[in-house]
Amino acid sequence: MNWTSVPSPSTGPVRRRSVLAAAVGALLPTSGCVTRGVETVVDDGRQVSLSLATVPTDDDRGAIRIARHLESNLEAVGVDVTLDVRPRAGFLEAVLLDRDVDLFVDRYPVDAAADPDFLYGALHSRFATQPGRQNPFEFTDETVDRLLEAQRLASEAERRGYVADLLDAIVAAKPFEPICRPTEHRLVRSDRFEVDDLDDAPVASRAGYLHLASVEDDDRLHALLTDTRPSRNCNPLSVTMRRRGTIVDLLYDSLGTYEDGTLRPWLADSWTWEQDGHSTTISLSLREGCRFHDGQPVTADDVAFTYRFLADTAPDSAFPSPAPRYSGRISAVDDLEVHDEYALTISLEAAEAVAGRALTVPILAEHVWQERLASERGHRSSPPQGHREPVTGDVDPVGSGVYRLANRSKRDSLTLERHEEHFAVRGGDGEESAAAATPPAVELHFEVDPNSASMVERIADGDADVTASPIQAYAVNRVPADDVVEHAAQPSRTFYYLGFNTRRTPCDEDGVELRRAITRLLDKSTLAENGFDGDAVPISTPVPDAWTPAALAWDGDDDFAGNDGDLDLETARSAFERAGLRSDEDGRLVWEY
Amino acid sequence: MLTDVLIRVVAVVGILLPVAVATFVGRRRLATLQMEWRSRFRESGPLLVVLLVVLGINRVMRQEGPTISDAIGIQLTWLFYELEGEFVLVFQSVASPELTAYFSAIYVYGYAFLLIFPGIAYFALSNTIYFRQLLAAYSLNYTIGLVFYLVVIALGPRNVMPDLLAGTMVYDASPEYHHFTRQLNSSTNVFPSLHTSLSVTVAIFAYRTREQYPRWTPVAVVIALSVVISTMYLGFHWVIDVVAGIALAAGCVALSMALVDSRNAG
Repeated sequence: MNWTSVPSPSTGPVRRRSVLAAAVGALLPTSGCVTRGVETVVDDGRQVSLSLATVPTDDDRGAIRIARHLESNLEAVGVDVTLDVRPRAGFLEAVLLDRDVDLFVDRYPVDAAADPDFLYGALHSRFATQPGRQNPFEFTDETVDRLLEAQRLASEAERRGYVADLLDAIVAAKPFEPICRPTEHRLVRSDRFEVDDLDDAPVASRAGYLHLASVEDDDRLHALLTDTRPSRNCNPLSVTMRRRGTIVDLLYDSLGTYEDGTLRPWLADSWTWEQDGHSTTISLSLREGCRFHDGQPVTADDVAFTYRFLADTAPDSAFPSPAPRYSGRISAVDDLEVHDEYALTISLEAAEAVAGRALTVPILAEHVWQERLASERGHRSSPPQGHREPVTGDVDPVGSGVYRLANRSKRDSLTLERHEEHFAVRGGDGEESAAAATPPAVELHFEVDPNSASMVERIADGDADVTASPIQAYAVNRVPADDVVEHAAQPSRTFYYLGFNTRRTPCDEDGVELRRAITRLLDKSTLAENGFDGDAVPISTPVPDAWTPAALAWDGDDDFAGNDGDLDLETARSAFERAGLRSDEDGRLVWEY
Repeated sequence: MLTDVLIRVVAVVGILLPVAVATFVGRRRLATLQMEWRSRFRESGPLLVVLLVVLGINRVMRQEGPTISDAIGIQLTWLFYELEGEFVLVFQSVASPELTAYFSAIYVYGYAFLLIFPGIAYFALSNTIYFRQLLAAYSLNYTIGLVFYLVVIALGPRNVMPDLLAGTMVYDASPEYHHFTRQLNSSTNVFPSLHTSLSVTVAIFAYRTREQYPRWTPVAVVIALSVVISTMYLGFHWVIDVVAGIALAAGCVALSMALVDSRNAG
């Protein structure tokens, strides 16, 4: 093992001074330490101080590497940084619900539509004060709001222009800084399961699971999962327990589903779309004979309940309490009308291109959730949104999806069994059916394996069939080059970013220059190369290349205050000076009076 | 994969134990043990039950603990890192593949042996006082450790400094160790270091029984010290965890001596 060859983010210009080392120094006899102490206290009060949260090595090696790189460069320019590493659920609680950190590094969970409209949920000011997945930056900007709305309403021809303007506005205002887009690697043992007629990554989405065809008769899929959270809580609305919600999409149906980038009817049997100016009306008829896992029929009333409930989970309260997840996707829904047991109309304030995202939310069983809500009534004060137990707590996931929960062992495993009454299993729905040609696997057994190297080894040994979670970049070179292990590698729709809480001082609305100065400390090329073992591409905008205007396209690290991985202190400090800071004689960044 | 490691641990400890028994305990003690084991067992029975119950609770808590921690725990990784910074990296300055192999073996196999052997050695003494005190001290370590684990949510240095610590590389190269340690403990249970506290507990007992087992004392101290260093060398624990572990060990030994003395058998 060679220690020095490991790319280390912390070998920057200045190494973090530990308090322990300082304490050793303090034990030595000095004179006049009282006066020095007082001075230190005064100066400390003025030094720029920031908290930076991210997830640990075991959860995401890329994220912690980015955070350490930034920490090291912030320390170098003289900012007092507190690196706060928390396991993913605790991290999300701090960033999305409590919202008490200044900076955070994570992966943004872009939904399956992979459409720039995800920025609406990410940045619209209407979500700024609501704890939850939406707008964790607490960002409010009128121009951005207007452009977010305009791109929704625009015709397809005009939309590209609005998205370009929107990206310009975001790049200027910097509520967050996109860093890189990783490649997702998944493995399938082709002697056990074949990926049947699909361009999407296998097991990365609902379609990705349903298009797996068993090679042998025993079609029990043994999948490896790095994340323990689905084994602890399957609630689709829990914001701290979900990433992209792929397992939720297996347990719950939605009206439509994306397959190879196209929206197709799913729980809906058929639909007609009508665009009238800026609004779209979708008339749907549901598949008949669908049942929830508890045997109750799925009706248009459940669909209507779902959309109303996601918009406001506390209908009895004077203040609306939108669901902590999916609020962005359903925000374009204007009205919903039930015609009969299976027919309904949804009208949206959005053009057709955007409206489809609203059809991908999980359909909840009204009777199940009404019961949960009833258990809450009588409690005088309800806890803040996102923390409400009936809405986000662990729940028996009664959906109507292809799979039902059979068994789980907290932190170890999760077993789903096929819902035999599901239309994708029954089949025979003819042309309209979105179901795959072959019936889905009888059982999905997800076993938690937190170590990517071990996941690769086990797939290679035939100890498991697929990697449900993407394997981390460091383990990719262990994938055996044989025909049995099929290696799917695709650029992720998710991306790594540095987020700012734009409501907290000093990165608040008066801190745009400070936010810019901080983003100039990110050496994206080096991070993509070293942090992800070369398996990520640096990016300048949060949307796929197809949506990025040429003027904003990635063209090297022009913004990085340095060269070839080395920070140039002078350039970096001058950026901070523009934000109203100066370096004191000890090299710390302090506020100008 | 997990069973691979388990089998290896059982095999290694299974080889080491008879060797250690032959070397340190001796034939004469084994002969008396054959005659007295019933009465010794009766005397120590209650404390043995206590330890088994504590271990059982620990087992359950591996699954349930994190849920309780989510509700009442305090995130303290940032504080440990703020206080220590990259201090544990001093061990990396002397790192070599041989040392990494040594410390990872000590961390898994040496530790298991170090905890089990004293149980046999003290049971082989006519006076069961050390055996009973050891059982009490183990139980106290696990119980007090568990309370801290519920309250303090902290990740080890390896999880904060991915590329700088040997543990990351050990896990990458031999992922089965990751499975093994995960079965023992959640990654957020680092304060205090139970590897440290239990090893130091054994070392203190070894010192106290230096007259009965003069040759075991230096061996126990060397293994215990190696375990303590391995926790930091591999990046599993902060210095703070280790210091707390040593304090916990001292407290548990003192408490076990106060609670279990020669008068009250059992």
